[in-house]
Amino acid sequence: MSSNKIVLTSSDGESFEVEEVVARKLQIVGHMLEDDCVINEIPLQNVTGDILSMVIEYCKTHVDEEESEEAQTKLKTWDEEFMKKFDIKTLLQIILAANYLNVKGLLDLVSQTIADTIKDYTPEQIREVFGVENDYTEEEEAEVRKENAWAFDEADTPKP
Amino acid sequence: MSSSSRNLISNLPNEILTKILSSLATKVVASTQILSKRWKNLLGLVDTLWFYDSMVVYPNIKNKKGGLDRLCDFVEKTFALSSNSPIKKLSLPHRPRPNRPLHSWIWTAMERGLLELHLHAGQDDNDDAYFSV
Repeated sequence: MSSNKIVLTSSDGESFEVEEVVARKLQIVGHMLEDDCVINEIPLQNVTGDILSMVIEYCKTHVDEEESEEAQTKLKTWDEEFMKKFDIKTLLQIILAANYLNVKGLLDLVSQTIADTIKDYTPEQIREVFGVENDYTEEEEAEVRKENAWAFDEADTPKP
Repeated sequence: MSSSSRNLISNLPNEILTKILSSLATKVVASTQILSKRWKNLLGLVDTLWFYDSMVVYPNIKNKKGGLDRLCDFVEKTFALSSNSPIKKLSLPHRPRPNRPLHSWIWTAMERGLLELHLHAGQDDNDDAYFSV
């Protein structure tokens, strides 16, 4: 395994030196390294240092994905604890970063966590969190509410 | 949170929003249509659809029948809304009304690239049957 070091630099100028195997977990970096194998410093324009450090923490932990059941269970527990550290707004920033940096495992993990968090939110709470502006007229909103009336009732909805 | 990151979140790309919504029961996704015009259209872009009997089962028998009707309407409306978008995973209750053929929904989904089908064989989630196609 290569112990080459790569320096990743965030949009706000913070630098992180990581093992090449860790950096390759960010597929955007993996592609750059394939294109030019002498790169050792990579600027990442769309992610700030605080968010990038969290992505790197995930990638370091997931660098050796062992097949054994024990290792998988341990990783799953780590993932759960890792996600508990963040509020919904931070999670939304992490999912943006995971999408830009192309870290599939983290993208899946964060989208499931966000879904679990918002499933019991009221529409008003979701609007607040996602910064959604209600652009319906009163009549249009009433129409949408009528079409989906059954979706707003209290019938038990199991989790997928 | 800085105003620039607030802005980023207001402008989350559809692919991220639909990814999040794919983890939710389709009923919950439908309820987010009330948020804004943009969110109204997201239901048609979600490639994982989870329909449950228990979404619409009420203690009152009369209501229950109405509920099943509404579920069938909802499945068909959702399919129409997503017109030709891909469907990767589909989860359906096993008791649609006989005149609303379950297999036609499955065929439609397969034509749109279905990879995984879940059929609820009973009220109890433990009775689920899973198929990969």
